Amino acid sequence: MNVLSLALYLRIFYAALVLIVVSLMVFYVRGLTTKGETSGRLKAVFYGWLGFLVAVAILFHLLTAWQIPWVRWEIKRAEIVPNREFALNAKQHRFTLPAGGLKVRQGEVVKFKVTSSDLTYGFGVFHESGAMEFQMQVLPGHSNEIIWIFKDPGKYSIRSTEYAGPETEQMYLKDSITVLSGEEK
Amino acid sequence: MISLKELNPLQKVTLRFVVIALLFYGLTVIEGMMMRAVQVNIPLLEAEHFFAVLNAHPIVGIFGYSFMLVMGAFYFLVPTFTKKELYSVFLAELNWLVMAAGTGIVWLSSFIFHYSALYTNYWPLPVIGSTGVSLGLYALGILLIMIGILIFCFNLFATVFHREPGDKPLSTLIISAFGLDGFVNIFNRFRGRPDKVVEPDVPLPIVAIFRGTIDTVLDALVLGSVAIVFLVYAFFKLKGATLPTTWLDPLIYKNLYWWGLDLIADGLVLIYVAGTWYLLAMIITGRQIFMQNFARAALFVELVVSWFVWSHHLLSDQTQPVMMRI
Repeated sequence: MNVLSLALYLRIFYAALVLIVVSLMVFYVRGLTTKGETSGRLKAVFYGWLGFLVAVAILFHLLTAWQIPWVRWEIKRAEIVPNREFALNAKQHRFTLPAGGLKVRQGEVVKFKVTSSDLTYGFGVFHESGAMEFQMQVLPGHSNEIIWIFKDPGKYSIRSTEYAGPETEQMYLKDSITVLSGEEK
Repeated sequence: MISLKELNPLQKVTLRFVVIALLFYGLTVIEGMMMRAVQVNIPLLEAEHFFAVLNAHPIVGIFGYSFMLVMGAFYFLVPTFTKKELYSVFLAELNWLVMAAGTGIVWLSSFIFHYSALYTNYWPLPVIGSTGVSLGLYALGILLIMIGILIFCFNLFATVFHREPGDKPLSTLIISAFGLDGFVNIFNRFRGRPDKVVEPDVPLPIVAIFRGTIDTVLDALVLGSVAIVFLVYAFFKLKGATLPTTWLDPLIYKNLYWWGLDLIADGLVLIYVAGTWYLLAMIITGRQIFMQNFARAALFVELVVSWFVWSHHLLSDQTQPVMMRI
Protein backbone atom coordinates (compact mmCIF):
# COMPACT_ATOMS: atom_id res chain seq x y z
CA MET A 1 0.00 0.00 0.00
CA ASN A 2 1.61 3.28 -1.03
CA VAL A 3 1.55 6.45 1.10
CA LEU A 4 -1.12 8.18 -0.98
CA SER A 5 -3.66 5.39 -0.73
CA LEU A 6 -2.97 5.04 3.02
CA ALA A 7 -3.73 8.75 3.48
CA LEU A 8 -6.92 8.33 1.44
CA TYR A 9 -8.06 5.32 3.49
CA LEU A 10 -7.36 7.22 6.69
CA ARG A 11 -9.44 10.18 5.52
CA ILE A 12 -12.32 7.90 4.61
CA PHE A 13 -12.01 6.18 7.98
CA TYR A 14 -12.04 9.49 9.90
CA ALA A 15 -14.93 10.85 7.82
CA ALA A 16 -16.94 7.67 8.51
CA LEU A 17 -16.12 7.87 12.22
CA VAL A 18 -17.26 11.50 12.44
CA LEU A 19 -20.46 10.69 10.53
CA ILE A 20 -21.25 7.84 12.91
CA VAL A 21 -20.68 10.07 15.95
CA VAL A 22 -22.80 12.90 14.54
CA SER A 23 -25.55 10.46 13.52
CA LEU A 24 -25.65 8.98 17.01
CA MET A 25 -25.89 12.43 18.57
CA VAL A 26 -28.64 13.53 16.15
CA PHE A 27 -30.50 10.26 16.74
CA TYR A 28 -30.28 10.73 20.49
CA VAL A 29 -31.14 14.44 20.60
CA ARG A 30 -34.06 13.95 18.21
CA GLY A 31 -35.48 11.23 20.39
CA LEU A 32 -35.01 13.41 23.43
CA THR A 33 -36.61 16.55 22.04
CA THR A 34 -39.52 15.16 20.02
CA LYS A 35 -41.01 12.88 22.66
CA GLY A 36 -39.99 14.86 25.72
CA GLU A 37 -38.55 11.76 27.35
CA THR A 38 -35.82 9.25 26.61
CA SER A 39 -36.32 5.57 25.91
CA GLY A 40 -34.06 2.96 27.49
CA ARG A 41 -32.81 1.98 24.03
CA LEU A 42 -31.62 5.52 23.29
CA LYS A 43 -30.00 5.80 26.69
CA ALA A 44 -28.12 2.55 26.08
CA VAL A 45 -26.78 3.87 22.77
CA PHE A 46 -25.76 7.20 24.26
CA TYR A 47 -24.13 5.96 27.43
CA GLY A 48 -22.61 3.01 25.56
CA TRP A 49 -20.94 5.44 23.19
CA LEU A 50 -19.65 7.61 26.05
CA GLY A 51 -18.29 4.53 27.81
CA PHE A 52 -16.62 3.37 24.60
CA LEU A 53 -14.90 6.76 24.16
CA VAL A 54 -13.63 6.75 27.75
CA ALA A 55 -12.33 3.18 27.42
CA VAL A 56 -10.62 3.91 24.09
CA ALA A 57 -9.02 7.10 25.44
CA ILE A 58 -7.59 5.36 28.51
CA LEU A 59 -6.42 2.30 26.56
CA PHE A 60 -4.87 4.44 23.83
CA HIS A 61 -2.80 6.40 26.35
CA LEU A 62 -1.70 3.31 28.22
CA LEU A 63 -0.73 1.40 25.07
CA THR A 64 1.17 4.28 23.46
CA ALA A 65 2.89 5.71 26.56
CA TRP A 66 5.91 3.44 26.09
CA GLN A 67 6.24 4.38 22.42
CA ILE A 68 7.15 8.00 23.20
CA PRO A 69 10.98 8.00 23.08
CA TRP A 70 11.63 10.22 26.08
CA VAL A 71 9.51 8.09 28.38
CA ARG A 72 11.67 5.02 27.83
CA TRP A 73 14.91 7.01 27.80
CA GLU A 74 14.05 9.05 30.84
CA ILE A 75 13.33 5.98 32.92
CA LYS A 76 16.54 4.31 31.81
CA ARG A 77 18.61 7.49 31.60
CA ALA A 78 21.04 6.48 34.34
CA GLU A 79 21.73 3.12 32.67
CA ILE A 80 22.28 4.44 29.13
CA VAL A 81 25.93 4.79 28.12
CA PRO A 82 26.14 7.02 25.02
CA ASN A 83 28.46 6.15 22.12
CA ARG A 84 29.24 9.82 21.68
CA GLU A 85 28.86 12.92 23.82
CA PHE A 86 28.93 16.58 22.77
CA ALA A 87 29.06 19.71 24.92
CA LEU A 88 27.73 22.99 23.49
CA ASN A 89 27.32 26.45 24.96
CA ALA A 90 25.03 29.33 24.10
CA LYS A 91 25.92 32.91 24.95
CA GLN A 92 24.87 36.30 23.57
CA HIS A 93 22.66 34.64 20.97
CA ARG A 94 25.42 32.39 19.61
CA PHE A 95 26.03 28.66 19.87
CA THR A 96 29.62 27.50 20.44
CA LEU A 97 30.16 24.02 18.99
CA PRO A 98 32.85 21.59 20.20
CA ALA A 99 36.17 21.64 18.36
CA GLY A 100 36.01 19.09 15.55
CA GLY A 101 32.33 19.74 14.83
CA LEU A 102 29.42 17.41 15.33
CA LYS A 103 29.83 14.15 13.42
CA VAL A 104 27.90 11.01 14.41
CA ARG A 105 27.05 7.68 12.89
CA GLN A 106 23.54 6.53 12.09
CA GLY A 107 22.13 4.45 14.95
CA GLU A 108 24.61 5.68 17.56
CA VAL A 109 23.42 6.78 20.97
CA VAL A 110 24.38 10.46 21.20
CA LYS A 111 24.19 12.70 24.23
CA PHE A 112 24.03 16.49 23.81
CA LYS A 113 24.92 18.58 26.87
CA VAL A 114 23.96 22.19 26.25
CA THR A 115 24.56 25.07 28.66
CA SER A 116 23.65 28.74 28.53
CA SER A 117 25.73 31.54 30.00
CA ASP A 118 23.00 34.18 29.95
CA LEU A 119 19.43 33.65 28.67
CA THR A 120 16.92 30.84 28.26
CA TYR A 121 17.37 29.45 24.74
CA GLY A 122 16.12 26.45 22.78
CA PHE A 123 18.22 23.72 21.19
CA GLY A 124 16.41 22.37 18.15
CA VAL A 125 17.86 19.99 15.57
CA PHE A 126 16.26 20.00 12.13
CA HIS A 127 16.39 17.57 9.22
CA GLU A 128 17.32 18.77 5.71
CA SER A 129 13.62 18.66 4.83
CA GLY A 130 12.95 21.28 7.51
CA ALA A 131 11.22 18.79 9.83
CA MET A 132 12.25 19.00 13.47
CA GLU A 133 14.18 16.00 14.76
CA PHE A 134 14.07 17.02 18.44
CA GLN A 135 14.35 20.03 20.68
CA MET A 136 14.83 20.98 24.31
CA GLN A 137 14.98 24.13 26.35
CA VAL A 138 18.37 25.44 27.43
CA LEU A 139 18.11 27.04 30.84
CA PRO A 140 21.00 29.03 32.36
CA GLY A 141 22.40 27.54 35.54
CA HIS A 142 21.44 24.00 34.49
CA SER A 143 23.13 21.30 32.42
CA ASN A 144 20.50 20.52 29.78
CA GLU A 145 20.99 17.03 28.40
CA ILE A 146 19.21 15.02 25.77
CA ILE A 147 19.92 11.55 24.39
CA TRP A 148 19.13 10.88 20.77
CA ILE A 149 19.59 8.23 18.07
CA PHE A 150 19.67 9.56 14.50
CA LYS A 151 17.88 7.07 12.26
CA ASP A 152 18.60 8.80 8.93
CA PRO A 153 22.01 9.85 7.56
CA GLY A 154 22.44 13.39 6.24
CA LYS A 155 23.06 16.96 7.30
CA TYR A 156 21.16 18.45 10.23
CA SER A 157 20.84 22.11 11.26
CA ILE A 158 20.68 23.65 14.71
CA ARG A 159 18.29 26.47 15.57
CA SER A 160 17.25 28.06 18.85
CA THR A 161 13.63 27.08 19.34
CA GLU A 162 12.85 29.48 22.16
CA TYR A 163 12.27 33.21 21.94
CA ALA A 164 15.16 35.06 23.57
CA GLY A 165 14.65 38.54 22.18
CA PRO A 166 14.77 39.98 18.64
CA GLU A 167 18.28 38.57 18.10
CA THR A 168 17.04 34.97 18.39
CA GLU A 169 16.62 34.59 14.64
CA GLN A 170 20.39 34.74 14.13
CA MET A 171 20.82 31.53 16.16
CA TYR A 172 20.83 29.22 13.15
CA LEU A 173 23.68 26.90 12.22
CA LYS A 174 22.96 25.30 8.87
CA ASP A 175 24.15 21.73 8.25
CA SER A 176 26.16 21.75 11.48
CA ILE A 177 25.55 18.08 12.33
CA THR A 178 26.68 15.34 9.96
CA VAL A 179 25.15 11.89 10.36
CA LEU A 180 27.05 9.21 8.46
CA SER A 181 25.34 6.05 7.26
CA GLY A 182 26.51 2.67 8.56
CA GLU A 183 28.85 2.08 5.59
CA GLU A 184 30.30 5.59 5.23
CA LYS A 185 33.81 6.35 6.51
CA MET B 1 -33.42 55.46 21.07
CA ILE B 2 -31.88 54.71 24.45
CA SER B 3 -30.81 57.74 26.43
CA LEU B 4 -27.69 57.31 28.57
CA LYS B 5 -29.49 59.19 31.35
CA GLU B 6 -32.09 56.42 31.57
CA LEU B 7 -29.51 53.69 32.21
CA ASN B 8 -29.03 52.43 35.73
CA PRO B 9 -25.47 52.32 37.23
CA LEU B 10 -25.07 48.60 36.43
CA GLN B 11 -26.02 49.11 32.78
CA LYS B 12 -23.66 52.09 32.53
CA VAL B 13 -20.62 50.31 33.94
CA THR B 14 -21.33 47.25 31.77
CA LEU B 15 -21.43 49.40 28.64
CA ARG B 16 -18.21 51.16 29.68
CA PHE B 17 -16.43 47.80 29.84
CA VAL B 18 -17.74 46.84 26.41
CA VAL B 19 -16.85 50.16 24.75
CA ILE B 20 -13.30 50.24 26.20
CA ALA B 21 -12.83 46.57 25.26
CA LEU B 22 -13.84 47.29 21.68
CA LEU B 23 -11.39 50.21 21.52
CA PHE B 24 -8.59 47.87 22.61
CA TYR B 25 -9.83 45.33 20.07
CA GLY B 26 -9.46 47.96 17.36
CA LEU B 27 -5.92 48.57 18.58
CA THR B 28 -4.99 44.89 18.37
CA VAL B 29 -6.45 44.71 14.86
CA ILE B 30 -4.22 47.59 13.74
CA GLU B 31 -1.20 45.96 15.41
CA GLY B 32 -2.02 42.67 13.73
CA MET B 33 -2.21 44.35 10.33
CA MET B 34 1.09 46.17 10.91
CA MET B 35 2.83 42.89 11.77
CA ARG B 36 1.21 41.22 8.79
CA ALA B 37 2.51 43.99 6.56
CA VAL B 38 6.06 43.32 7.80
CA GLN B 39 5.63 39.64 6.91
CA VAL B 40 4.97 40.59 3.29
CA ASN B 41 7.93 43.01 3.21
CA ILE B 42 6.03 46.29 3.61
CA PRO B 43 8.39 48.22 5.91
CA LEU B 44 5.88 49.55 8.45
CA LEU B 45 7.93 48.49 11.47
CA GLU B 46 11.65 48.29 12.12
CA ALA B 47 12.94 44.87 13.18
CA GLU B 48 13.25 45.89 16.84
CA HIS B 49 9.84 47.55 16.82
CA PHE B 50 8.25 44.44 15.27
CA PHE B 51 9.11 42.31 18.31
CA ALA B 52 7.92 45.07 20.64
CA VAL B 53 4.53 45.13 18.89
CA LEU B 54 4.51 41.35 19.02
CA ASN B 55 4.85 41.74 22.79
CA ALA B 56 2.05 44.30 23.22
CA HIS B 57 -0.39 42.57 20.87
CA PRO B 58 -1.40 39.55 23.01
CA ILE B 59 -1.48 41.56 26.25
CA VAL B 60 -3.83 44.16 24.77
CA GLY B 61 -5.89 41.42 23.12
CA ILE B 62 -6.22 39.21 26.19
CA PHE B 63 -6.56 41.73 29.00
CA GLY B 64 -7.78 44.85 27.18
CA TYR B 65 -10.27 43.11 24.94
CA SER B 66 -11.21 39.57 26.05
CA PHE B 67 -11.01 40.04 29.82
CA MET B 68 -12.80 43.41 29.80
CA LEU B 69 -15.53 42.13 27.52
CA VAL B 70 -16.09 39.12 29.79
CA MET B 71 -15.93 41.28 32.93
CA GLY B 72 -18.55 43.69 31.59
CA ALA B 73 -20.87 40.83 30.65
CA PHE B 74 -20.55 39.06 34.01
CA TYR B 75 -20.95 42.26 36.02
CA PHE B 76 -24.40 42.44 34.45
CA LEU B 77 -25.30 38.74 34.21
CA VAL B 78 -24.33 37.55 37.69
CA PRO B 79 -26.49 40.03 39.67
CA THR B 80 -29.34 39.65 37.16
CA PHE B 81 -29.30 35.87 37.24
CA THR B 82 -28.82 35.50 41.01
CA LYS B 83 -31.47 38.21 41.60
CA LYS B 84 -29.05 40.10 43.86
CA GLU B 85 -27.57 43.59 43.78
CA LEU B 86 -23.99 43.85 42.52
CA TYR B 87 -21.86 44.07 45.66
CA SER B 88 -20.21 47.35 44.63
CA VAL B 89 -20.81 49.46 41.52
CA PHE B 90 -18.01 51.77 42.74
CA LEU B 91 -15.52 48.87 42.62
CA ALA B 92 -16.79 47.96 39.14
CA GLU B 93 -16.16 51.55 37.99
CA LEU B 94 -12.69 51.45 39.57
CA ASN B 95 -12.16 48.07 37.90
CA TRP B 96 -12.50 49.27 34.30
CA LEU B 97 -10.34 52.30 35.03
CA VAL B 98 -7.52 50.18 36.49
CA MET B 99 -7.75 47.61 33.67
CA ALA B 100 -7.76 50.29 30.96
CA ALA B 101 -4.84 52.16 32.58
CA GLY B 102 -2.83 48.94 33.02
CA THR B 103 -3.39 47.79 29.45
CA GLY B 104 -2.56 51.25 28.10
CA ILE B 105 0.69 51.37 30.10
CA VAL B 106 1.75 47.90 28.85
CA TRP B 107 1.02 49.03 25.30
CA LEU B 108 3.13 52.14 25.91
CA SER B 109 6.04 50.07 27.32
CA SER B 110 6.23 48.08 24.10
CA PHE B 111 5.01 50.38 21.37
CA ILE B 112 6.99 53.42 22.50
CA PHE B 113 9.74 52.04 24.77
CA HIS B 114 10.34 48.72 22.95
CA TYR B 115 9.84 46.21 25.77
CA SER B 116 10.09 42.96 23.81
CA ALA B 117 10.40 39.94 26.11
CA LEU B 118 7.09 38.61 24.76
CA TYR B 119 4.30 37.26 26.97
CA THR B 120 6.49 34.18 27.56
CA ASN B 121 8.89 36.29 29.71
CA TYR B 122 11.48 33.54 30.10
CA TRP B 123 13.85 34.36 32.92
CA PRO B 124 16.13 36.32 32.75
CA LEU B 125 15.30 37.89 29.35
CA PRO B 126 12.95 40.59 30.75
CA VAL B 127 15.57 42.01 33.12
CA ILE B 128 18.60 41.57 30.80
CA GLY B 129 17.10 42.53 27.47
CA SER B 130 15.08 45.60 28.55
CA THR B 131 15.79 49.16 29.59
CA GLY B 132 14.79 50.20 33.11
CA VAL B 133 11.99 52.43 31.79
CA SER B 134 10.42 49.81 29.50
CA LEU B 135 10.67 47.05 32.14
CA GLY B 136 9.26 49.32 34.85
CA LEU B 137 6.34 50.45 32.70
CA TYR B 138 5.54 46.90 31.59
CA ALA B 139 5.61 45.63 35.17
CA LEU B 140 3.47 48.52 36.42
CA GLY B 141 0.92 47.89 33.66
CA ILE B 142 0.74 44.15 34.37
CA LEU B 143 0.43 44.81 38.11
CA LEU B 144 -2.49 47.21 37.53
CA ILE B 145 -4.20 44.67 35.28
CA MET B 146 -3.83 41.97 37.93
CA ILE B 147 -5.20 44.30 40.61
CA GLY B 148 -8.16 44.94 38.28
CA ILE B 149 -8.73 41.20 37.89
CA LEU B 150 -8.64 40.70 41.67
CA ILE B 151 -11.17 43.53 42.13
CA PHE B 152 -13.45 41.82 39.60
CA CYS B 153 -13.19 38.44 41.31
CA PHE B 154 -13.77 39.95 44.76
CA ASN B 155 -16.83 41.83 43.51
CA LEU B 156 -18.30 38.68 41.96
CA PHE B 157 -17.54 36.49 45.00
CA ALA B 158 -19.10 39.10 47.28
CA THR B 159 -22.20 39.25 45.06
CA VAL B 160 -22.67 35.47 44.79
CA PHE B 161 -22.14 34.85 48.51
CA HIS B 162 -24.08 37.88 49.77
CA ARG B 163 -26.85 36.74 52.14
CA GLU B 164 -29.88 38.39 53.62
CA PRO B 165 -31.17 37.44 57.08
CA GLY B 166 -32.97 34.12 56.79
CA ASP B 167 -30.95 32.95 53.76
CA LYS B 168 -29.19 29.59 53.75
CA PRO B 169 -25.78 29.39 55.50
CA LEU B 170 -22.61 30.33 53.62
CA SER B 171 -21.35 26.74 53.68
CA THR B 172 -24.38 25.61 51.64
CA LEU B 173 -23.75 28.33 49.07
CA ILE B 174 -20.06 27.40 48.81
CA ILE B 175 -20.85 23.68 48.34
CA SER B 176 -23.30 24.59 45.61
CA ALA B 177 -20.92 27.12 43.98
CA PHE B 178 -18.26 24.41 43.65
CA GLY B 179 -20.79 22.05 42.02
CA LEU B 180 -20.40 19.52 44.83
CA ASP B 181 -24.20 19.15 45.11
CA GLY B 182 -24.01 17.51 41.67
CA PHE B 183 -21.77 14.79 43.16
CA VAL B 184 -24.24 14.24 46.00
CA ASN B 185 -27.14 13.77 43.58
CA ILE B 186 -25.18 11.39 41.33
CA PHE B 187 -24.16 9.33 44.37
CA ASN B 188 -27.77 9.15 45.52
CA ARG B 189 -28.98 8.03 42.09
CA PHE B 190 -26.42 5.21 42.06
CA ARG B 191 -27.92 4.08 45.36
CA GLY B 192 -31.43 4.32 43.91
CA ARG B 193 -32.40 7.30 46.04
CA PRO B 194 -33.99 10.59 44.92
CA ASP B 195 -31.95 13.75 44.42
CA LYS B 196 -30.95 15.39 47.70
CA VAL B 197 -30.66 18.83 46.08
CA VAL B 198 -33.66 19.47 43.81
CA GLU B 199 -33.26 23.25 43.52
CA PRO B 200 -29.50 24.09 43.63
CA ASP B 201 -28.68 27.20 45.64
CA VAL B 202 -26.34 28.49 42.94
CA PRO B 203 -27.50 28.16 39.30
CA LEU B 204 -25.29 26.18 36.91
CA PRO B 205 -24.05 29.16 34.83
CA ILE B 206 -22.98 30.91 38.04
CA VAL B 207 -21.16 27.73 39.15
CA ALA B 208 -19.21 27.87 35.87
CA ILE B 209 -18.43 31.57 36.27
CA PHE B 210 -17.40 31.07 39.91
CA ARG B 211 -15.22 28.11 39.00
CA GLY B 212 -13.53 30.06 36.15
CA THR B 213 -12.94 32.92 38.56
CA ILE B 214 -10.91 30.70 40.91
CA ASP B 215 -8.39 30.01 38.13
CA THR B 216 -8.44 33.70 37.26
CA VAL B 217 -7.51 34.65 40.86
CA LEU B 218 -4.64 32.16 40.91
CA ASP B 219 -3.45 33.46 37.55
CA ALA B 220 -3.57 37.08 38.79
CA LEU B 221 -1.60 36.20 41.93
CA VAL B 222 1.19 34.50 39.93
CA LEU B 223 1.46 37.15 37.19
CA GLY B 224 1.14 39.95 39.75
CA SER B 225 4.00 38.48 41.81
CA VAL B 226 6.19 38.26 38.69
CA ALA B 227 5.36 41.92 37.93
CA ILE B 228 6.51 42.91 41.43
CA VAL B 229 9.83 41.10 40.84
CA PHE B 230 10.23 42.99 37.54
CA LEU B 231 9.47 46.28 39.30
CA VAL B 232 12.25 45.66 41.83
CA TYR B 233 14.77 44.92 39.05
CA ALA B 234 13.58 47.96 37.06
CA PHE B 235 13.92 50.20 40.11
CA PHE B 236 17.54 49.22 40.63
CA LYS B 237 18.22 49.41 36.89
CA LEU B 238 16.97 52.99 36.83
CA LYS B 239 19.30 53.76 39.75
CA GLY B 240 22.20 52.39 37.70
CA ALA B 241 22.63 49.17 39.72
CA THR B 242 22.30 45.68 38.23
CA LEU B 243 20.83 42.99 40.42
CA PRO B 244 22.13 39.44 39.83
CA THR B 245 19.80 37.29 37.73
CA THR B 246 20.87 34.19 39.66
CA TRP B 247 18.53 35.16 42.49
CA LEU B 248 15.80 33.29 40.63
CA ASP B 249 16.18 29.79 39.23
CA PRO B 250 14.95 29.85 35.59
CA LEU B 251 13.36 26.42 35.93
CA ILE B 252 11.36 27.11 39.10
CA TYR B 253 10.40 30.53 37.70
CA LYS B 254 9.22 28.98 34.45
CA ASN B 255 7.18 26.29 36.19
CA LEU B 256 5.39 28.85 38.36
CA TYR B 257 4.94 31.42 35.59
CA TRP B 258 3.49 28.96 33.08
CA TRP B 259 1.32 27.36 35.72
CA GLY B 260 -0.31 30.77 36.22
CA LEU B 261 -0.36 31.73 32.56
CA ASP B 262 -2.08 28.53 31.44
CA LEU B 263 -4.91 29.15 33.86
CA ILE B 264 -5.97 32.09 31.67
CA ALA B 265 -6.77 29.70 28.85
CA ASP B 266 -8.72 27.43 31.11
CA GLY B 267 -10.47 29.90 33.41
CA LEU B 268 -11.21 32.60 30.90
CA VAL B 269 -11.60 30.92 27.56
CA LEU B 270 -12.96 27.47 28.33
CA ILE B 271 -15.04 27.77 31.47
CA TYR B 272 -16.34 31.33 31.06
CA VAL B 273 -17.55 30.43 27.57
CA ALA B 274 -19.17 27.26 28.95
CA GLY B 275 -20.87 29.33 31.67
CA THR B 276 -22.16 31.83 29.13
CA TRP B 277 -23.63 29.07 26.99
CA TYR B 278 -25.19 27.26 29.93
CA LEU B 279 -26.86 30.58 30.68
CA LEU B 280 -28.00 31.20 27.12
CA ALA B 281 -29.29 27.64 26.73
CA MET B 282 -31.37 28.00 29.89
CA ILE B 283 -32.75 31.39 28.84
CA ILE B 284 -33.52 30.28 25.27
CA THR B 285 -35.19 26.97 26.17
CA GLY B 286 -36.66 28.03 29.51
CA ARG B 287 -35.52 24.68 30.92
CA GLN B 288 -32.81 23.38 33.22
CA ILE B 289 -29.65 22.10 31.54
CA PHE B 290 -29.84 18.40 30.62
CA MET B 291 -27.64 16.18 32.85
CA GLN B 292 -27.19 19.14 35.18
CA ASN B 293 -25.78 17.03 38.01
CA PHE B 294 -23.00 15.74 35.75
CA ALA B 295 -22.34 19.26 34.45
CA ARG B 296 -22.04 20.61 38.02
CA ALA B 297 -19.80 17.77 39.15
CA ALA B 298 -17.70 18.05 35.97
CA LEU B 299 -17.00 21.72 36.67
CA PHE B 300 -15.40 20.79 40.00
CA VAL B 301 -13.39 17.95 38.44
CA GLU B 302 -12.27 20.29 35.67
CA LEU B 303 -11.13 22.84 38.27
CA VAL B 304 -8.70 20.32 39.72
CA VAL B 305 -7.64 19.07 36.26
CA SER B 306 -6.96 22.65 35.10
CA TRP B 307 -4.17 22.97 37.67
CA PHE B 308 -2.24 20.28 35.77
CA VAL B 309 -2.82 21.56 32.21
CA TRP B 310 0.45 23.49 32.32
CA SER B 311 2.35 20.21 32.68
CA HIS B 312 2.74 19.87 28.89
CA HIS B 313 5.41 22.59 29.17
CA LEU B 314 7.50 20.16 31.20
CA LEU B 315 8.05 18.02 28.11
CA SER B 316 10.64 20.34 26.61
CA ASP B 317 12.67 20.74 29.80
CA GLN B 318 15.25 18.01 30.15
CA THR B 319 16.33 19.42 33.49
CA GLN B 320 12.97 18.85 35.16
CA PRO B 321 13.03 16.16 37.85
CA VAL B 322 12.10 12.81 36.30
CA MET B 323 8.96 12.42 38.41
CA MET B 324 7.63 15.77 37.09
CA ARG B 325 8.17 14.71 33.48
CA ILE B 326 6.68 11.26 33.81
